[in-house]
Amino acid sequence: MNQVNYTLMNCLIVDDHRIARTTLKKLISLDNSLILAGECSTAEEAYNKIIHDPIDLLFLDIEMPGMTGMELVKSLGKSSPMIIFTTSDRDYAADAFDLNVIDFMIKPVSPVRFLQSMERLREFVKTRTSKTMIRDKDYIFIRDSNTIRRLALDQVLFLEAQGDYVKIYVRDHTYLIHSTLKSVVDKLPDSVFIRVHRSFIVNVSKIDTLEGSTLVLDKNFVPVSDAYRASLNKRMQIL
Amino acid sequence: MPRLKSYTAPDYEYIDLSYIEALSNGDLAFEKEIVEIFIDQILEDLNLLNTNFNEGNFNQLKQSAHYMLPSISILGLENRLKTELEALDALDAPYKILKKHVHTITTVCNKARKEAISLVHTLS
Repeated sequence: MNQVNYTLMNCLIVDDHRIARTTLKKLISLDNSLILAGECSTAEEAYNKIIHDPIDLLFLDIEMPGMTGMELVKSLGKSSPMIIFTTSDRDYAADAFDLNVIDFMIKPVSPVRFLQSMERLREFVKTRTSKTMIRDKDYIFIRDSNTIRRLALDQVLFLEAQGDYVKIYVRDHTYLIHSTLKSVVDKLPDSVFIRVHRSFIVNVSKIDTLEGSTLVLDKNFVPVSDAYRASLNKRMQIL
Repeated sequence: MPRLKSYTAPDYEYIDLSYIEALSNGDLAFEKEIVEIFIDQILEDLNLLNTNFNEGNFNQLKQSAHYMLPSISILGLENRLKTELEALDALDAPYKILKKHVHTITTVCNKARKEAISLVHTLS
Protein backbone atom coordinates (compact mmCIF):
# COMPACT_ATOMS: atom_id res chain seq x y z
CA MET A 1 0.00 0.00 0.00
CA ASN A 2 1.20 3.48 -0.82
CA GLN A 3 1.96 5.88 1.95
CA VAL A 4 0.84 9.49 1.80
CA ASN A 5 2.72 12.51 3.04
CA TYR A 6 1.45 15.90 4.18
CA THR A 7 1.48 18.15 7.25
CA LEU A 8 2.44 16.18 10.36
CA MET A 9 -0.42 15.69 12.80
CA ASN A 10 -0.61 14.30 16.32
CA CYS A 11 -3.48 11.89 16.54
CA LEU A 12 -5.18 10.07 19.38
CA ILE A 13 -7.24 6.88 19.27
CA VAL A 14 -10.24 6.78 21.59
CA ASP A 15 -12.01 3.43 21.63
CA ASP A 16 -13.01 1.06 24.41
CA HIS A 17 -12.26 -2.01 22.25
CA ARG A 18 -8.65 -3.14 22.24
CA ILE A 19 -9.15 -4.95 18.94
CA ALA A 20 -10.43 -1.74 17.33
CA ARG A 21 -7.52 0.30 18.74
CA THR A 22 -5.04 -2.24 17.39
CA THR A 23 -6.51 -2.18 13.89
CA LEU A 24 -6.58 1.61 13.93
CA LYS A 25 -2.92 1.72 14.91
CA LYS A 26 -2.14 -0.41 11.88
CA LEU A 27 -4.19 1.88 9.64
CA ILE A 28 -2.50 4.97 11.06
CA SER A 29 0.88 3.46 10.19
CA LEU A 30 -0.17 3.61 6.52
CA ASP A 31 -0.01 7.38 6.59
CA ASN A 32 3.37 8.83 7.48
CA SER A 33 1.92 12.26 8.25
CA LEU A 34 0.13 10.86 11.31
CA ILE A 35 2.00 10.66 14.59
CA LEU A 36 0.23 8.48 17.12
CA ALA A 37 0.25 10.47 20.36
CA GLY A 38 -1.55 7.78 22.33
CA GLU A 39 -4.63 5.66 22.76
CA CYS A 40 -7.41 5.93 25.31
CA SER A 41 -10.11 3.45 26.23
CA THR A 42 -12.52 6.04 27.63
CA ALA A 43 -13.66 9.51 26.62
CA GLU A 44 -12.80 10.85 30.08
CA GLU A 45 -9.20 9.71 29.69
CA ALA A 46 -9.11 11.32 26.25
CA TYR A 47 -10.52 14.59 27.57
CA ASN A 48 -7.68 14.89 30.10
CA LYS A 49 -5.10 14.11 27.47
CA ILE A 50 -6.52 16.57 24.95
CA ILE A 51 -6.53 19.50 27.38
CA HIS A 52 -2.89 18.87 28.31
CA ASP A 53 -1.30 17.65 25.06
CA PRO A 54 -1.31 19.11 21.56
CA ILE A 55 -3.66 16.74 19.72
CA ASP A 56 -4.65 17.61 16.15
CA LEU A 57 -6.88 14.70 15.27
CA LEU A 58 -9.07 12.19 17.11
CA PHE A 59 -10.11 8.80 15.84
CA LEU A 60 -13.13 8.59 18.06
CA ASP A 61 -15.53 5.78 18.84
CA ILE A 62 -19.08 6.83 19.69
CA GLU A 63 -20.53 4.22 22.03
CA MET A 64 -18.30 3.88 25.05
CA PRO A 65 -19.06 3.25 28.71
CA GLY A 66 -19.43 6.56 30.56
CA MET A 67 -19.01 9.60 28.36
CA THR A 68 -19.80 8.91 24.69
CA GLY A 69 -17.75 10.15 21.76
CA MET A 70 -20.46 12.69 20.88
CA GLU A 71 -20.45 14.03 24.44
CA LEU A 72 -16.68 14.33 24.35
CA VAL A 73 -16.81 16.47 21.20
CA LYS A 74 -19.51 18.68 22.71
CA SER A 75 -17.61 19.08 25.98
CA LEU A 76 -14.44 20.13 24.16
CA GLY A 77 -16.34 22.79 22.22
CA LYS A 78 -14.16 25.03 20.11
CA SER A 79 -10.98 23.51 21.53
CA SER A 80 -11.86 20.16 19.98
CA PRO A 81 -9.24 18.65 17.68
CA MET A 82 -10.39 17.53 14.24
CA ILE A 83 -12.61 14.46 14.55
CA ILE A 84 -12.97 11.28 12.57
CA PHE A 85 -15.63 9.08 14.09
CA THR A 86 -15.13 5.33 13.95
CA THR A 87 -18.13 3.29 14.96
CA SER A 88 -19.91 -0.01 14.40
CA ASP A 89 -23.25 1.72 14.13
CA ARG A 90 -24.16 3.74 11.05
CA ASP A 91 -27.28 5.12 12.79
CA TYR A 92 -25.12 7.86 14.30
CA ALA A 93 -23.99 9.28 10.96
CA ALA A 94 -26.44 12.20 10.80
CA ASP A 95 -25.76 13.31 14.38
CA ALA A 96 -22.03 12.93 13.84
CA PHE A 97 -21.93 15.14 10.77
CA ASP A 98 -23.94 17.77 12.65
CA LEU A 99 -20.85 18.12 14.82
CA ASN A 100 -18.75 19.18 11.82
CA VAL A 101 -16.56 16.12 11.89
CA ILE A 102 -14.16 15.30 9.07
CA ASP A 103 -15.46 11.83 8.45
CA PHE A 104 -17.52 8.97 9.81
CA MET A 105 -16.08 5.51 9.27
CA ILE A 106 -17.89 2.25 9.90
CA LYS A 107 -15.78 -0.45 11.58
CA PRO A 108 -14.06 -2.50 10.46
CA VAL A 109 -12.34 0.17 8.38
CA SER A 110 -10.62 -1.07 5.25
CA PRO A 111 -7.23 0.38 4.26
CA VAL A 112 -8.83 1.89 1.14
CA ARG A 113 -11.57 3.55 3.18
CA PHE A 114 -8.99 4.84 5.65
CA LEU A 115 -6.89 6.42 2.91
CA GLN A 116 -10.02 8.05 1.47
CA SER A 117 -10.63 9.53 4.86
CA MET A 118 -7.06 10.84 4.98
CA GLU A 119 -7.64 12.46 1.61
CA ARG A 120 -10.73 14.17 3.03
CA LEU A 121 -8.67 15.28 6.02
CA ARG A 122 -6.01 16.70 3.75
CA GLU A 123 -8.63 18.71 1.84
CA PHE A 124 -10.05 20.03 5.08
CA VAL A 125 -6.63 21.10 6.37
CA LYS A 126 -5.84 22.76 3.04
CA THR A 127 -9.08 24.76 3.07
CA ARG A 128 -8.65 25.73 6.69
CA THR A 129 -5.09 26.88 6.08
CA SER A 130 -6.10 29.06 3.15
CA LYS A 131 -8.94 30.56 5.20
CA THR A 132 -6.47 31.34 8.00
CA MET A 133 -4.13 32.99 5.50
CA ILE A 134 -6.97 35.19 4.30
CA ARG A 135 -7.98 36.04 7.84
CA ASP A 136 -4.44 37.01 8.79
CA LYS A 137 -4.38 39.75 6.17
CA ASP A 138 -5.02 43.34 7.25
CA TYR A 139 -7.15 44.16 4.21
CA ILE A 140 -9.94 42.76 2.09
CA PHE A 141 -10.95 43.32 -1.50
CA ILE A 142 -14.52 44.39 -2.16
CA ARG A 143 -16.50 45.00 -5.33
CA ASP A 144 -17.52 48.66 -5.34
CA SER A 145 -19.70 49.29 -8.44
CA ASN A 146 -17.33 48.41 -11.30
CA THR A 147 -14.19 48.72 -9.20
CA ILE A 148 -12.46 46.11 -7.10
CA ARG A 149 -11.31 48.08 -4.09
CA ARG A 150 -8.76 47.24 -1.41
CA LEU A 151 -10.15 48.13 1.98
CA ALA A 152 -7.87 48.33 5.02
CA LEU A 153 -9.54 46.51 7.89
CA ASP A 154 -8.42 49.10 10.41
CA GLN A 155 -10.62 51.61 8.57
CA VAL A 156 -13.74 49.49 9.01
CA LEU A 157 -16.03 50.46 11.87
CA PHE A 158 -18.71 47.80 11.53
CA LEU A 159 -20.75 45.75 9.07
CA GLU A 160 -24.49 45.41 8.80
CA ALA A 161 -26.54 42.72 7.06
CA GLN A 162 -29.18 44.18 4.75
CA GLY A 163 -31.10 41.44 2.99
CA ASP A 164 -28.85 39.95 0.31
CA TYR A 165 -26.28 42.67 0.94
CA VAL A 166 -23.76 43.67 3.57
CA LYS A 167 -23.15 47.32 4.28
CA ILE A 168 -19.60 48.15 5.35
CA TYR A 169 -19.19 51.32 7.39
CA VAL A 170 -15.91 53.22 7.34
CA ARG A 171 -15.44 56.67 8.90
CA ASP A 172 -17.05 58.86 6.23
CA HIS A 173 -18.39 56.36 3.81
CA THR A 174 -20.30 53.12 3.35
CA TYR A 175 -19.93 50.32 0.82
CA LEU A 176 -22.72 47.94 -0.13
CA ILE A 177 -21.58 44.51 -1.27
CA HIS A 178 -23.65 41.60 -2.50
CA SER A 179 -22.90 38.94 0.12
CA THR A 180 -24.06 37.47 3.39
CA LEU A 181 -22.74 38.48 6.77
CA LYS A 182 -21.72 34.87 7.37
CA SER A 183 -19.48 34.68 4.32
CA VAL A 184 -17.93 38.08 5.09
CA VAL A 185 -17.20 37.18 8.70
CA ASP A 186 -15.38 34.06 7.53
CA LYS A 187 -12.88 36.35 5.80
CA LEU A 188 -12.32 38.65 8.77
CA PRO A 189 -9.80 38.10 11.58
CA ASP A 190 -11.50 36.87 14.79
CA SER A 191 -9.04 38.91 16.79
CA VAL A 192 -10.40 42.22 15.42
CA PHE A 193 -14.07 41.68 14.57
CA ILE A 194 -16.87 40.34 16.70
CA ARG A 195 -20.53 39.68 16.04
CA VAL A 196 -22.75 41.62 18.45
CA HIS A 197 -26.12 41.03 16.82
CA ARG A 198 -27.63 38.77 14.18
CA SER A 199 -27.17 41.65 11.72
CA PHE A 200 -24.05 43.42 13.01
CA ILE A 201 -20.33 42.75 13.27
CA VAL A 202 -18.11 45.40 14.82
CA ASN A 203 -14.43 46.23 14.86
CA VAL A 204 -13.63 45.97 18.58
CA SER A 205 -10.88 48.60 18.40
CA LYS A 206 -13.39 51.15 17.06
CA ILE A 207 -15.86 50.92 19.94
CA ASP A 208 -16.18 54.28 21.71
CA THR A 209 -18.84 53.46 24.28
CA LEU A 210 -21.25 50.76 25.34
CA GLU A 211 -24.38 51.97 27.06
CA GLY A 212 -26.99 49.37 27.93
CA SER A 213 -27.49 47.44 24.71
CA THR A 214 -26.05 50.03 22.38
CA LEU A 215 -22.55 50.43 21.08
CA VAL A 216 -21.28 53.71 19.72
CA LEU A 217 -18.62 53.63 17.04
CA ASP A 218 -17.64 57.02 15.63
CA LYS A 219 -21.13 58.45 16.27
CA ASN A 220 -22.88 55.39 14.83
CA PHE A 221 -25.23 53.34 17.04
CA VAL A 222 -25.10 49.57 16.89
CA PRO A 223 -27.45 47.28 18.87
CA VAL A 224 -26.06 44.44 20.98
CA SER A 225 -28.32 41.42 21.43
CA ASP A 226 -28.36 39.37 24.63
CA ALA A 227 -27.05 36.29 22.83
CA TYR A 228 -23.77 38.05 22.02
CA ARG A 229 -23.43 40.17 25.14
CA ALA A 230 -21.23 37.77 27.13
CA SER A 231 -18.72 37.23 24.33
CA LEU A 232 -18.56 40.98 23.71
CA ASN A 233 -17.89 41.73 27.39
CA LYS A 234 -15.17 39.10 27.40
CA ARG A 235 -13.55 40.56 24.31
CA MET A 236 -13.68 44.12 25.60
CA GLN A 237 -11.81 43.09 28.76
CA ILE A 238 -13.62 45.72 30.79
CA LEU A 239 -11.58 46.84 33.84
CA MET B 1 10.89 -5.19 10.41
CA PRO B 2 7.73 -7.30 10.71
CA ARG B 3 7.84 -10.96 9.81
CA LEU B 4 6.13 -11.27 6.46
CA LYS B 5 3.78 -13.99 5.35
CA SER B 6 5.40 -16.98 3.72
CA TYR B 7 2.65 -19.54 4.09
CA THR B 8 -0.88 -20.17 2.91
CA ALA B 9 -3.43 -19.95 5.69
CA PRO B 10 -5.60 -23.03 5.96
CA ASP B 11 -9.27 -22.69 5.08
CA TYR B 12 -11.57 -22.17 8.02
CA GLU B 13 -15.27 -22.80 8.28
CA TYR B 14 -16.12 -19.88 10.55
CA ILE B 15 -13.44 -17.22 10.66
CA ASP B 16 -12.75 -15.16 7.59
CA LEU B 17 -9.30 -13.61 7.50
CA SER B 18 -9.86 -11.36 4.47
CA TYR B 19 -10.00 -8.16 6.49
CA ILE B 20 -7.04 -8.96 8.72
CA GLU B 21 -4.95 -10.01 5.73
CA ALA B 22 -5.84 -6.89 3.77
CA LEU B 23 -4.79 -4.82 6.74
CA SER B 24 -1.67 -6.72 7.72
CA ASN B 25 -0.10 -6.64 4.28
CA GLY B 26 1.75 -9.83 5.27
CA ASP B 27 2.70 -8.73 8.80
CA LEU B 28 2.24 -12.00 10.69
CA ALA B 29 2.97 -10.48 14.10
CA PHE B 30 0.07 -8.10 13.60
CA GLU B 31 -2.24 -10.92 12.48
CA LYS B 32 -1.29 -12.93 15.54
CA GLU B 33 -1.88 -9.97 17.84
CA ILE B 34 -5.36 -9.35 16.45
CA VAL B 35 -6.35 -13.01 16.62
CA GLU B 36 -5.08 -13.29 20.20
CA ILE B 37 -7.13 -10.27 21.22
CA PHE B 38 -10.16 -11.89 19.61
CA ILE B 39 -9.60 -15.14 21.50
CA ASP B 40 -9.59 -13.31 24.85
CA GLN B 41 -12.26 -10.76 24.07
CA ILE B 42 -14.89 -13.02 22.55
CA LEU B 43 -14.88 -15.22 25.64
CA GLU B 44 -15.63 -12.22 27.85
CA ASP B 45 -18.24 -10.98 25.40
CA LEU B 46 -20.04 -14.33 25.31
CA ASN B 47 -20.04 -14.60 29.09
CA LEU B 48 -21.61 -11.17 29.35
CA LEU B 49 -24.17 -11.92 26.63
CA ASN B 50 -25.28 -15.14 28.27
CA THR B 51 -25.32 -13.67 31.78
CA ASN B 52 -27.52 -10.81 30.64
CA PHE B 53 -29.87 -13.18 28.84
CA ASN B 54 -30.09 -15.64 31.73
CA GLU B 55 -30.78 -12.82 34.19
CA GLY B 56 -33.42 -11.28 31.92
CA ASN B 57 -31.54 -7.95 31.54
CA PHE B 58 -32.71 -7.31 28.02
CA ASN B 59 -31.43 -3.76 27.67
CA GLN B 60 -28.03 -4.97 28.82
CA LEU B 61 -28.38 -7.94 26.46
CA LYS B 62 -28.84 -5.56 23.55
CA GLN B 63 -25.79 -3.56 24.65
CA SER B 64 -23.66 -6.65 25.09
CA ALA B 65 -24.60 -7.87 21.61
CA HIS B 66 -23.66 -4.48 20.25
CA TYR B 67 -20.42 -4.54 22.18
CA MET B 68 -19.41 -7.76 20.38
CA LEU B 69 -19.59 -6.17 16.95
CA PRO B 70 -15.95 -5.04 16.55
CA SER B 71 -14.57 -8.50 17.41
CA ILE B 72 -17.18 -10.27 15.32
CA SER B 73 -16.72 -8.08 12.27
CA ILE B 74 -12.92 -8.11 12.28
CA LEU B 75 -12.95 -11.92 12.15
CA GLY B 76 -15.57 -11.88 9.40
CA LEU B 77 -18.45 -13.35 11.41
CA GLU B 78 -20.83 -10.45 10.97
CA ASN B 79 -22.70 -11.73 7.93
CA ARG B 80 -23.07 -15.19 9.39
CA LEU B 81 -24.63 -13.72 12.55
CA LYS B 82 -26.50 -10.85 10.93
CA THR B 83 -30.03 -12.15 11.64
CA GLU B 84 -29.25 -12.97 15.25
CA LEU B 85 -27.50 -9.67 15.97
CA GLU B 86 -30.29 -7.65 14.39
CA ALA B 87 -32.88 -9.52 16.43
CA LEU B 88 -31.00 -8.80 19.65
CA ASP B 89 -30.74 -5.17 18.65
CA ALA B 90 -34.47 -4.90 17.92
CA LEU B 91 -35.55 -7.08 20.88
CA ASP B 92 -38.96 -7.56 19.32
CA ALA B 93 -38.84 -11.35 18.94
CA PRO B 94 -40.42 -13.81 21.41
CA TYR B 95 -38.26 -15.08 24.26
CA LYS B 96 -37.84 -18.50 22.67
CA ILE B 97 -36.48 -16.97 19.47
CA LEU B 98 -34.12 -14.68 21.38
CA LYS B 99 -32.86 -17.69 23.29
CA LYS B 100 -32.20 -19.47 20.02
CA HIS B 101 -30.31 -16.43 18.71
CA VAL B 102 -28.15 -16.19 21.81
CA HIS B 103 -27.43 -19.90 21.46
CA THR B 104 -26.47 -19.51 17.78
CA ILE B 105 -24.18 -16.56 18.51
CA THR B 106 -22.55 -18.49 21.34
CA THR B 107 -22.05 -21.61 19.22
CA VAL B 108 -20.68 -19.78 16.19
CA CYS B 109 -18.35 -17.61 18.25
CA ASN B 110 -17.05 -20.56 20.24
CA LYS B 111 -16.32 -22.47 17.04
CA ALA B 112 -14.67 -19.39 15.58
CA ARG B 113 -12.60 -19.06 18.74
CA LYS B 114 -11.41 -22.66 18.40
CA GLU B 115 -10.36 -21.95 14.83
CA ALA B 116 -8.64 -18.76 16.00
CA ILE B 117 -6.65 -20.73 18.58
CA SER B 118 -5.58 -23.15 15.89
CA LEU B 119 -4.60 -20.23 13.66
CA VAL B 120 -2.45 -18.68 16.39
CA HIS B 121 -0.49 -21.95 16.61
CA THR B 122 0.08 -21.71 12.86
CA LEU B 123 1.30 -18.14 13.21
CA SER B 124 3.59 -18.87 16.17
